[in-house]
Amino acid sequence: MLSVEKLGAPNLALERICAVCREHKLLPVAVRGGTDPVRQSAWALGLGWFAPVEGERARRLASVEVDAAVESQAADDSEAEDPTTKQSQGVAQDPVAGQDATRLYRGTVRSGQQVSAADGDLIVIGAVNAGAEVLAGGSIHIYGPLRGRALAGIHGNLSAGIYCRELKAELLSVAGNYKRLEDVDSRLLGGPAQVHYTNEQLEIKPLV
Amino acid sequence: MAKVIVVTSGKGGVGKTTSAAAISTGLAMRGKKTVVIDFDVGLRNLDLIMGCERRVVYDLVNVIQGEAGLNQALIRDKRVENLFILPASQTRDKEALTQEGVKEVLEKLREEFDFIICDSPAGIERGAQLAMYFADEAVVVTNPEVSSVRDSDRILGLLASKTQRAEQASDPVREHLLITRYNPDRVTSGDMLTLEDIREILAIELLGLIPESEAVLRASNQGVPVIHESASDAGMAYLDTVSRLLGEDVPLRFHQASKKAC
Ligand SMILES: Nc1ncnc2c1ncn2[C@@H]1O[C@H](COP(=O)(O)OP(=O)(O)O)[C@@H](O)[C@H]1O
Ligand SMILES: [Mg+2]
Repeated sequence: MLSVEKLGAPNLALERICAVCREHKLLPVAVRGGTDPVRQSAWALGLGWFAPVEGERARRLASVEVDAAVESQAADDSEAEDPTTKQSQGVAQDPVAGQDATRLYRGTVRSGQQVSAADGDLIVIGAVNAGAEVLAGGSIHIYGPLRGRALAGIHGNLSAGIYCRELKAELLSVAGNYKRLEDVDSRLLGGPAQVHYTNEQLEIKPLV
Repeated sequence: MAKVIVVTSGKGGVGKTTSAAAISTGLAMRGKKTVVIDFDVGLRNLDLIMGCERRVVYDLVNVIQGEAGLNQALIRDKRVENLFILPASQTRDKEALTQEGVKEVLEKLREEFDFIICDSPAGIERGAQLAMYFADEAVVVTNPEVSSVRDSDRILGLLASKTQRAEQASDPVREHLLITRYNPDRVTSGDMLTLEDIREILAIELLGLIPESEAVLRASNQGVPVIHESASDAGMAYLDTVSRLLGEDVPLRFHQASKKAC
């Protein structure tokens, strides 16, 4: 997760930042904050996008930055968050929070909406429409058509999967490895499908 | 109990104003005391379609800013009893509409009217959000095109999150789908989404289907809501729509190709 909300820059060389991350064995999965162009390029690069955090957490984030500089710690604790938070705002990285954080969402996820289960699996009983985004630390199960974007394993869990009843996704991503609609074998489109990371690539198969 | 119904769509030019004029006229013809409000500040379209543009003296913004009383601004329709129009201002900027002001106006209207129809501006910004904020029900106007369906989907997301009913966690806004400018022949040729496609994506109850019709242009050029043209296809389709809005079970018409007027 790249938090860019504290950077004033309207434009970011996001692609280069991601390349640098990958060189250092960090897998970028999503961006938080930033301007509309930043959001657009995040989407174009197959990354998720989160609204900037506000209020108390934002202050905590700022102070963690200072602490980290002083103690020269790894910066990854800056993301720790109340694991009960069900909102799509932030993403927890605490591995123990991964228990029992399955989220069930009933209804259509509509264009412009984002539904996430930061710490566990996400189950959607309904459709994920074009322009909508669903994210999960674990796997994503959609009992309906997937027409929007689905990002599973957003903390780097390579064994996460995506399952849906009707594949028409704009974007599929497991732990930052992504495919866009145009990269998907057209024979798989419209049918039930499962998506996993196998043999170092994203594999999409019919769900039987 | 008065009902506030917003006619909205996200996308512009899909038939919101045409529909708001037809539906409010239809409700009044059925004996319901109805007012239709133009929220499209700066454009001012509704009064043209209702044929009362020369009778506009005061508008919604005047009322909100206390420059005119509600009764001074309301225009009585000259064709149908029970029907009133609250026009928008052509000159003021959109900032002149405040949530508090809109709330007051709607509260007063609720005391007198059965139906309050809000004709929303296009977009998903402030103006559109104000038009929907106090709604009890929403008529989501959609053309059989991918971009229009996508925008309607966004509007449905906002209706479920950015309205008073959503914020107070009371009963959600009741959502109705109104498909307009439907042309079964072009659907068959693959240019347009089918009725089934649209229903499947938006997954809300279908209130009506209005065919693409020359009667609409003819009527709006004359400043007559098309529902008065009760022999035209669009006029009949709007009459059906109003019946369904009043809870009647009316079969769907005009959705099949090339069997001109069933
Ligand atoms: N069913 C229809 N058939 C043909 N033309 C239509 C129909 N509905 C609307 N129109 C035309 O589309 C244009 C936009 O309609 P309008 O009601 O002003 O849309 P909106 O309020 O959504 O911007 C107008 O020129 C109108 O005459
Ligand atoms: Mg209009």
